[in-house]
Amino acid sequence: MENRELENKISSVICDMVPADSFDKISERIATGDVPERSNVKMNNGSKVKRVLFPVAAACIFLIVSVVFGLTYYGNNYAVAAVIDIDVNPSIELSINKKEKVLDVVALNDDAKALIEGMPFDKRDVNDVVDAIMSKLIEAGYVVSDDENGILITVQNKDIKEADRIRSKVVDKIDKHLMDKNIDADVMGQSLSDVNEAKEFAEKNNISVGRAMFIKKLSEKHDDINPEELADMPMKDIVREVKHKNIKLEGIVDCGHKGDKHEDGKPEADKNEEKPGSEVPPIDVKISEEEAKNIAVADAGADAEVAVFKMVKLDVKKDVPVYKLILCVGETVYHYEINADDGTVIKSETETADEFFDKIPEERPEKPSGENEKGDRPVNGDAPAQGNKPVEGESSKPEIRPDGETVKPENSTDNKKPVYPERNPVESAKPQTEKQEGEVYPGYQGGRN
Amino acid sequence: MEILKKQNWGLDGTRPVDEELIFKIADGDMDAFRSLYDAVSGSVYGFVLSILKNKYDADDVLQDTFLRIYSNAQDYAAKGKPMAWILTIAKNSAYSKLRDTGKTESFEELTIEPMDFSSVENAEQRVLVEMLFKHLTDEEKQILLLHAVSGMKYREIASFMDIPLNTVLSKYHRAVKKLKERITEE
Repeated sequence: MENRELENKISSVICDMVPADSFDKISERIATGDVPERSNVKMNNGSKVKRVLFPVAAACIFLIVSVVFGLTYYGNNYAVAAVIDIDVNPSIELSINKKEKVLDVVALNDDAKALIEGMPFDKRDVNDVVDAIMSKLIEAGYVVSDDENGILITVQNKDIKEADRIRSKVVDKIDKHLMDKNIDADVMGQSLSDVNEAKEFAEKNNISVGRAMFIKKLSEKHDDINPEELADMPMKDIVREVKHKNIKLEGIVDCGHKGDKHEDGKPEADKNEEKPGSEVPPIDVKISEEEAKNIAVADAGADAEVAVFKMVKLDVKKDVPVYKLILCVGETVYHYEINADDGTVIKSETETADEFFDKIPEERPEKPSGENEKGDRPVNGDAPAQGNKPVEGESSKPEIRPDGETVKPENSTDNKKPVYPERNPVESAKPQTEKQEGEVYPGYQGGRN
Repeated sequence: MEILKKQNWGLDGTRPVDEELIFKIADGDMDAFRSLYDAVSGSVYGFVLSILKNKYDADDVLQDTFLRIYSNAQDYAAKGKPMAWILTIAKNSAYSKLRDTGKTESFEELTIEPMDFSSVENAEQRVLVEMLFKHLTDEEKQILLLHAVSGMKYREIASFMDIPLNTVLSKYHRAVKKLKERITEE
């Protein structure tokens, strides 16, 4: 007998066994309402193995996803991504997460404890917290408008680029805060990826790692620095000491930001960007500016009473500090270069006033009402705006720098040298009386003076 | 037998139960209910009989199963498995019957009186059904009936009974072999 035949016989006999009146009984019960209540019919949806494995697999996937999500969430929200030290005299340490929310604030000295007491920091944006701390520092008199201020910002991060980015952001925020309050301050920044070498010194002197690293670098570069002494000083005193000793901070901290407000509303950093060469620190010379002028006047055989200096500036030429002077005596203009260390005259050239002013026709004082050749009235302050470019169409003509200094193109190697407007105030008394309203004289646009 | 032939029920592996019938029952269509009864009553009866081993109890459960189909038709979710849904109701009803009658011990070990198949007029058929219920285990009976009467595929039986496919196949062949041997002996 074939299987199919056997199956047909079984099917047939079972169907025949079904009681003939069953459906009538069912219909009757339905008609009389004798129907069981609705119930949930749970069907098998697979084998035991599948039913067991599926939840286990689902649980594993859920666990893995949870762990990955959890770690990511933890990494973004609760793990310390960077540490920021703010040193004034109070030293405050901020721990921030990847989203730049503040996780923790630690007062590293007593001044800081008093300063941050009661301030809400938790999970606030680092910008807001820095702003709040700056307000407190000003309110408490640690940063004042009529004195020197030093603020050191240190950002620790394994990724130095990320540290630089955060530091730039924080320093910008502080800079803006100081500008709004019209406060001058030296805001120094440093980014650190490894602080181990400074940890011991920081712990020993109870200062921030940032300040410790700064002092350590200073003492490494300058033997006369006593690190222990600096560790006890507020940042403004350290800054004062640094300036007093003429210490170059290049390579130690970034001094690109100076939180002072200028007439044009731009911070010092912005001004520096417009003045190539102005970032070079001052240099020590033995001959003073007055002495250099006297040497020039004497060499010209002129009477000091009638000599008018159009420009005096200190420059460096072939590693030698040199005073460059432009001196007008009557109708003669003298160009001097005087060694700033021994006072010897390196170079002396003369030309007539006409020749001199012909090189900068728009600034010639003889023009009535201050009009230039195009008929435009030059406005005091215009010169710096165009100062970085040679006079239009005259590549051989003198270049007027942003600070108003005139530099001859033939001295192009010198032109690349830095200028120090602060250290070279231009003689201005007499020319100012001769100058007509609205005119711009070379050497009289003394930058920030 | 006529019904089976009309529906081509369980003989070529096609699905004899149209889901539409259940949806119509949900709307109160008694003609659809009758059609469904005609199509699957044999399958339900054979299956519950294999569990209960008593034709009176099987009759009760048959009625109870169709009443539950009637009342639960609205909850039927179209998954292409109407037969599995119907047989699940039948299985639940059968187990419920066993609990009600106090026969809660292992069904394999259930000691019951020998079933009376005297109502089966055809002698050959009677012998066949007696052999089936006498010599096959419950699982073998159910597999054979689900395949032969309900037309379920081995894979569907494995899923419905929650056992591996290989077990279904081996038990089916063993059941068929046993039956053939017993019939030959008779």
